[in-house]
Amino acid sequence: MGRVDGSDEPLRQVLASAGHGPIFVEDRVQASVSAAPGEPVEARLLRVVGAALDGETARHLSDPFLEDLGGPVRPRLPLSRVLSEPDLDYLPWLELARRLSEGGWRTRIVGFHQKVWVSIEGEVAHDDRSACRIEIRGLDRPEVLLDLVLRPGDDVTPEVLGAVKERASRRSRAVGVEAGVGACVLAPGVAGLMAHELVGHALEGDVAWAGSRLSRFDEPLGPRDLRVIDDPRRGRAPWRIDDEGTAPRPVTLLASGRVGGRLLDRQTARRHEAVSTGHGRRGSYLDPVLPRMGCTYIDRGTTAAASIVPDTTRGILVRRMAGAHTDPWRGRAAFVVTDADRIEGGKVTDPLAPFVIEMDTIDALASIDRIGDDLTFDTCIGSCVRSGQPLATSVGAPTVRLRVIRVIP
Amino acid sequence: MTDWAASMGEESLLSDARSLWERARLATRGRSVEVYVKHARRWGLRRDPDRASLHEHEVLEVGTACRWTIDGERAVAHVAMVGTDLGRLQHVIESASAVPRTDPASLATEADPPEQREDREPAGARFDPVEVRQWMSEATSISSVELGLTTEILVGPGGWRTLRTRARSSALIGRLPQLVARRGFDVTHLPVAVDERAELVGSSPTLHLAPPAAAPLVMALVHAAHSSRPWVGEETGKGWDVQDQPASPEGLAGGAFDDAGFPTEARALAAGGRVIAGLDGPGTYWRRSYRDAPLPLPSTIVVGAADIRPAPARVIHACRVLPLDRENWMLELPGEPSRYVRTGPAELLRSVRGVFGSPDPTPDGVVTPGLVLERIVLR
Repeated sequence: MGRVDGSDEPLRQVLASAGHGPIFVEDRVQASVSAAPGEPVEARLLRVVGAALDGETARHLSDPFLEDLGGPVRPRLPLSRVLSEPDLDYLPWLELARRLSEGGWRTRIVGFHQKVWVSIEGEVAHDDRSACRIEIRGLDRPEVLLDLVLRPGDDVTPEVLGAVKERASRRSRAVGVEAGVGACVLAPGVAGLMAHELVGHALEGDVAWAGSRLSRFDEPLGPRDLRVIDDPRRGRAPWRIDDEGTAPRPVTLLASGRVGGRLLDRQTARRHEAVSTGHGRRGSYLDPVLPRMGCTYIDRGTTAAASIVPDTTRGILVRRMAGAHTDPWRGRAAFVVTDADRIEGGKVTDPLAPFVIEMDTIDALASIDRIGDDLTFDTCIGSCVRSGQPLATSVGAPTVRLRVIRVIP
Repeated sequence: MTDWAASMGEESLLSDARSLWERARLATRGRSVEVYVKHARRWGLRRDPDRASLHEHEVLEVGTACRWTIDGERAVAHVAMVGTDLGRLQHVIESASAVPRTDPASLATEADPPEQREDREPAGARFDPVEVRQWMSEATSISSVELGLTTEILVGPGGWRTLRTRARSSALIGRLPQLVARRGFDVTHLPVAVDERAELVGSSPTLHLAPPAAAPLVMALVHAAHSSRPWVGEETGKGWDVQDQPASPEGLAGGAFDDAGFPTEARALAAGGRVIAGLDGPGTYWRRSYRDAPLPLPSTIVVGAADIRPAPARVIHACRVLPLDRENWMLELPGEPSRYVRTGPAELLRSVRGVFGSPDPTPDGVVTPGLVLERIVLR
């Protein structure tokens, strides 16, 4: 997408002179490319320009004129005509998707480039954010999905595709999992989703303020080397300032088996008599700010990761969880497991058909008995939706074992 | 009293849409062109986490979409943009030449403008912000409320125009916020409490799902069995009596014409224990937002009420559909403890054996009474 019109200088001048309540401006280009064998490659592009003015009455404006943001500017042009359009080099994605579809794969690539300006009392902060991911599925086993973070110049190698093909072939022999409780090994990265749902959501400032179950828990839980951290500067979709202009800092949510910090935006920071941790985000200019997770991860442990499956007599090895939702008040979450294997006698045996696992926050954390030394990020990629606001988030974890988990076949 | 319908600036929006259409014709060198402009105005209140104060907000969103015929009239291209700027429309149409995109919904022609050109919200769009604030101050279970008026204008090939307005109100209720929504601006019609009781005991093979629990299941089944490749002839339970009713007065979506300008009509999707139709073709083309091209989609799904049973003592108030793969779903029935049903869409269709209670509009776009599911195995 080519550049049009000018730089962001006119906008900066207006914001700097506006002098009233916080103003948030975003200019975002997002694209998705999809392809499947025998079908044409399709692409969608969207540019979104808008502003939120958080005064006495918060106003959310679609492509406003500069005057709407607080100062007389001539000529009267909508914001989208004043700014340089964000760059999103999606053309290589078309070629990659076409090549993969010719090889028999169903592919979807989604990405965005977002420019953000936040003005508070004349101080203007700026951030430039981008992220891109690719999903590759085999046609015959669509639940076998490879999720990759795609950075400029990245390719998908034959070795990677070979591994997906081999996995799809194995999964054609998937058997049903037995109901009940048992041990569960979460492959590298996967436990990050568990931390996101069970720990992160419960300690978002507003949820914690209202009394989520975990936020009220004052006893030790989990092993001493369990540390859960949220650091928006890491992962596939980092930010350097949040949507209120605050630089983010890592927050340790659990340490030494104790509940630690909270994820705070400005409003919830006031409630907690603390300062914002830089976790205030909006799904778009149309939405209010909420405290949100950025990159939630379980820190590296001390157990040799390679020893965890051999050390498990009977259980399941979860390789991918495709979706989850949580109830932070009851302290429960359910996860859809789309790729897993049975573990018998310390060995990985049959692949398992998709199933659901349910976790109780306190029981699940208390049940962790192995934390590996192979911290990995972004093996489960997805968006987090809260109060109708989607946000690209990251998770990470080493290999983790839980002694007991409830499996619903 | 605020009257949005009167203060909308409809004439100016119609004029903008016409100018955009003319610019699009030039930019596409005279191909068959359609321009869709959507203006959304929303006003609402949000309760502070301390539950004491209310914050007011107002949202103004304007978007434009344009479709035109390509490839010797065999396919349709689609672009969308925020705002109604003429220069930007020209730019996005020119940029679209590098973006392959075909649209499954056909474009109306110059010869088939809809008979009905206007479809206005019958109840108007009047509300008193002071009264809404007072109502919400007293309804402390509600964490936010919003009133929205959308105005959609379509300028079709040849320059024919349609206009539709819709007023809706919605609220988030409870700690795990549950969305409730109604047509119109009378917030006093919104429920102020949701039932979160967990009533599941034992392993009864019969489930009674109240409308909020039934609606997501109904929508998932409509997408599975009544899409553009419907399971015509498939056996269903007696309670699966389903229509798509674009003109339903309670419907949050729909209208006299679809989002491509084709006239709509009620369509029976299942009756007499069989799937009889799907959603496809002119009259079913709806846009999820101005950003999305029109697709064959449900408008307002109405579950029939021919054989309504009385409401039983124990009903389920929440249900989540968790798709495991194409053939297998897990229904999660939250409670203490949560219970699960492993099933599939075909099996579920057959298990809908009846309905109970009175039909309720839901934010999922479904108007449904409670559903009775039989031969269910709880896990």
